[in-house]
Amino acid sequence: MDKAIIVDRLSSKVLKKISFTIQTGEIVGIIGSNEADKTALMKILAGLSPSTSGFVSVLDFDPYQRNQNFLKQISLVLSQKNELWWNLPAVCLFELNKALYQISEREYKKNLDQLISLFNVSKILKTPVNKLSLIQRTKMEMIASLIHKPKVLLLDEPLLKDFVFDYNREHGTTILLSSSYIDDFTDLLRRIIIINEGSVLFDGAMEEITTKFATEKIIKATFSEEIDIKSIANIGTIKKYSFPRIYISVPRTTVTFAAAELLQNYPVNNLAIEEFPIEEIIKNIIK
Amino acid sequence: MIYHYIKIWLSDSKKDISYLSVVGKIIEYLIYFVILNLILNNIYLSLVLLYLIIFIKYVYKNIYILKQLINSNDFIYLLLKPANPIYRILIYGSNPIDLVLSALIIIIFCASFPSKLLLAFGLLTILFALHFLVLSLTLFMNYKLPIEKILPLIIIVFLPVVLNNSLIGLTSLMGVLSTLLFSISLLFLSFKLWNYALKNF
Repeated sequence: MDKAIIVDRLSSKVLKKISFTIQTGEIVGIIGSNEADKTALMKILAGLSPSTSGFVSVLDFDPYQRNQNFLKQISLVLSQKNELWWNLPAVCLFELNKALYQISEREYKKNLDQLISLFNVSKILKTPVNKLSLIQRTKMEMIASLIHKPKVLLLDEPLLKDFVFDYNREHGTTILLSSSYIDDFTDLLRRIIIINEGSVLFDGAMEEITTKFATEKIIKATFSEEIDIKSIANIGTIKKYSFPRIYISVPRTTVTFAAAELLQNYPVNNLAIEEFPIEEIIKNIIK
Repeated sequence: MIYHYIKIWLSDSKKDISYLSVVGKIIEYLIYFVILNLILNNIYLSLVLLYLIIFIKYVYKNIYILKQLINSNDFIYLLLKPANPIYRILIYGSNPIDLVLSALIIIIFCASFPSKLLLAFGLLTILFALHFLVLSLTLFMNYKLPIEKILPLIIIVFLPVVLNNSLIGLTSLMGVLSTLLFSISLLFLSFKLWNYALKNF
């Protein structure tokens, strides 16, 4: 597989020597508590901002050169930015983009039909933008960004993200998706990059986050009768107790002993050992 | 691409064009023309000055559009398109009524002075070159410089040169050719400056 994006020891005003590589057709999530870090990275990848040092390559182009062939193959969607014409139907912008990106009539019709069905907007295509709801405008904005079938799609804090899997599967587009809300990612992505204070804190599969950052596990138990809750404090940290259910946080290394102790000394009906939710682990890392 | 920009501009301009606005504009420019003619006592010079007034208004509007695009951060969308943002600004800043009036003045002038056709072309080229220059400065300075205050100064410096060339002076072929060469070089340089400003925005 080719490398669509290469970032090597990249530094800017807010980024500090970050490095990662993204393969063609991959979907990667960028998570960070600071919006400026993620937006700065997206803008550098799209060629809108220069880096102070390091190397960046997107589709074998230096993004900051803003080569016409490069611009024809990428798309950047920024949150709360709007390129639609307020008084005109969104289709006017699609037609303009068709001309700007030099898309043939046949290709344009094919792409537009696919996107109309993907976003289910056939009925509002000719409605002036000022008569559309926020979500309808966002859909139109997304169609305008995808009409030229970009090879690399950069989505910065997008309102719409559920479509990315289907779109990626169908077109093999490389997608980089940034968000501050961890919950947005857990069902969507396999790989994430966590950026904290301008540096890459983690780059890998979702599952690896647990083994790398979760030092504790959760024991979920159900009791058959009321117990003295204070006596359990020496087994682990009680996260929540509401009879008959208890959640105890226990170090990974001692989790089996803790479970055994619970089973031996307390009236336990059911017991399960679980990992911490990924969302919570990430929140702890970047808080 | 330009066709599509014009199409969008025309569709979007429809809301600004009404019977009243057309009449209002005509009356406005008629007053300008009458006053200019009373002062100068020269129909053609008054027409050229009227054209300059319309053009300066157009330049100011484009500066406003550019600043608004920069301020709202929407300018970055233009930078992401595989086309020069200048087309969007130039076309979107136009007003259909002003455009028709400007075209009429050019036609009247050229019909009256067919020998000055090349000079008129040179004059227009210089004006557009100045326009690019002002837009480039706006982009370079990005609010640090109040371009609205500098623009009249630039116009005042160039206006006598333009008027002298178009109406009074040059009749020799050499003079006409050198004016053309100067205007095209200025346009080329100012376009280069605009692209440089874009690169460093």
